[in-house]
Amino acid sequence: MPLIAIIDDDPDILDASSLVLKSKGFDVITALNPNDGFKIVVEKKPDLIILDVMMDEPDDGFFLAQKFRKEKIQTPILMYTSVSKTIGLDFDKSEMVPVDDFVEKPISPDELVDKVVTLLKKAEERK
Amino acid sequence: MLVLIPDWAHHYDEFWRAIRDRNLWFIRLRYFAVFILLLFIFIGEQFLEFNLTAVQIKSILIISFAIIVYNVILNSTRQKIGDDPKKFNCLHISLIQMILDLISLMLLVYYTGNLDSPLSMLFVFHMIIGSMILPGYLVYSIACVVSVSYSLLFLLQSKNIIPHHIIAGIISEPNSHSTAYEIIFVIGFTFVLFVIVYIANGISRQLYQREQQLREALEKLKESERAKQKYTIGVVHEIKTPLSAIKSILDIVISKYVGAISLPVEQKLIRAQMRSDEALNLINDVLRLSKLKLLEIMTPEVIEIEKTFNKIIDIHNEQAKSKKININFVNKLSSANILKGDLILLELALSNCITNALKYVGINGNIEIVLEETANKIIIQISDDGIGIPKLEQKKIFEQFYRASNVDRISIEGTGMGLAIVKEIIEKMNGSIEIESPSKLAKENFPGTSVIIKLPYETSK
Repeated sequence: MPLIAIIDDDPDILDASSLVLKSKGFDVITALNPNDGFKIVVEKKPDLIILDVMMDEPDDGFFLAQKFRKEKIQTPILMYTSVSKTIGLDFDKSEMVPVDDFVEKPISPDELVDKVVTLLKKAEERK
Repeated sequence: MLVLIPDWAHHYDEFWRAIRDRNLWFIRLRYFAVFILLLFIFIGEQFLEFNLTAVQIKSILIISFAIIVYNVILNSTRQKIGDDPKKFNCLHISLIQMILDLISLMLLVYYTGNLDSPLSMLFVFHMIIGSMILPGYLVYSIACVVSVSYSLLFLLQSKNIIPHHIIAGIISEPNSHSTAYEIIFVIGFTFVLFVIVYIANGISRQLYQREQQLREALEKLKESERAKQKYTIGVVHEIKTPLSAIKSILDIVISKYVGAISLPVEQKLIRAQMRSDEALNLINDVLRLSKLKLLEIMTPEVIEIEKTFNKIIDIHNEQAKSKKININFVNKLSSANILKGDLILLELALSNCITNALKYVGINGNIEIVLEETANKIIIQISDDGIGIPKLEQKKIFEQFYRASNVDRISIEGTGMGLAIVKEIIEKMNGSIEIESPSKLAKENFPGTSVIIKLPYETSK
């Protein structure tokens, strides 16, 4: 079963997301801060990374995503945001942000599962 | 190049605009002045028996002609030069205008009798005008030069080096002034000039300074408004984080990810879910509006308005169908005028208007969207036959959090932010928005509402 890493500083969001994904049969590992997040990704090599855009610092999520790409980790990244769609102007799926898709917080379980499945399928095709 | 900008004119844009306006104003005034001068001479000759000599008439006509010529030249130069303080600019034009005017006036005064000339008091005008535009030291220097040249004319005339030119018909005894009188006159004249420059210069300086203070205050006000918006975004965002978590947890519980729940518990949880949705909508609206207020730059692109509307109507079609609402779209635009603006923002604004209409229109209601245009504006009119807005509240509905008193708050959800956002967007696009109620679709008990948005077309340059 695919392994998914969730990195978010909000334990409730971590809990809710892992619950949903585990119930769909995915294996889930979690981290509460960017440093631990980087570590688990390097060690466990998940098939998908879910990343919160804001952790301790407003742009932590972006920096971590960029760090992954710099280290040649090409794992698809799904980003949790709480501002993107609301404002509709902050960022897009541009090169600046090496992210494959966004999920707006609060997270709807169905949407989350949908996006995860789609991204995993795409990654599979690329191989 | 002589730098003419006074040190207190810090807000250059406004300063230059004022100078340009005044230059144009003086140029127009000058044509009028020539007309009045010629009229004065004509009436004087015809009805008051001025008995001007041939030399006088010729001189006055030449001077008038010269004024017209330099006025035309000034006008064409005025249009070409910029306002770079270090180069030849419109302030230099002002100075040149003043010097030319003073020379013309000096000659006119000389040819109409010098001390006895009825035109000599016109110097006062020039001093006032100069004080309004030019730096003090320059106007004082000009006043000096005027007084000295004036005295010189007296001197040369009294020594009979240059001839007298009085208006023979209205001065009975030419050359009857004693030297003492002439000296007193020149001293008095000089005194008047200087006092006027002092007063006018002081007043205009004060005015400029006050304007500058106002501008600074306005700037500070804008800055504090921005700080406020940033603060709002920060706070609201902090509130959104736990609320998002609550909502996410409720969602997974209701979706039975955690296990089975009894029906009464589920019903209560669904209620809680609805209430948290409400709060989140409000938070998103506040964030959106604050962000809009902070947003300086928009990405202008060509907007195909018909296409935009079709898309928005399409999005809301489902909702309209469920209430059996008929949406009628009439496009009366014909010209090739181009509407430019930020498409995402405009979509957001128009979509908000349609959502509003859909919310407040009853079953089997009507919504009509009409696009019309004037020479330079597009007029978007979105009318409905819904509950309408009471007359007294029509201004207030653009305020944040305001909801009209006739809205049934339980059945129609809303945050009261919608129109505030629409207004913010339309104003950012230099447009205007008005509300009319009753609308043209008004029915009995359903006055309806019209939202009228006017957006300027791109002006071709």
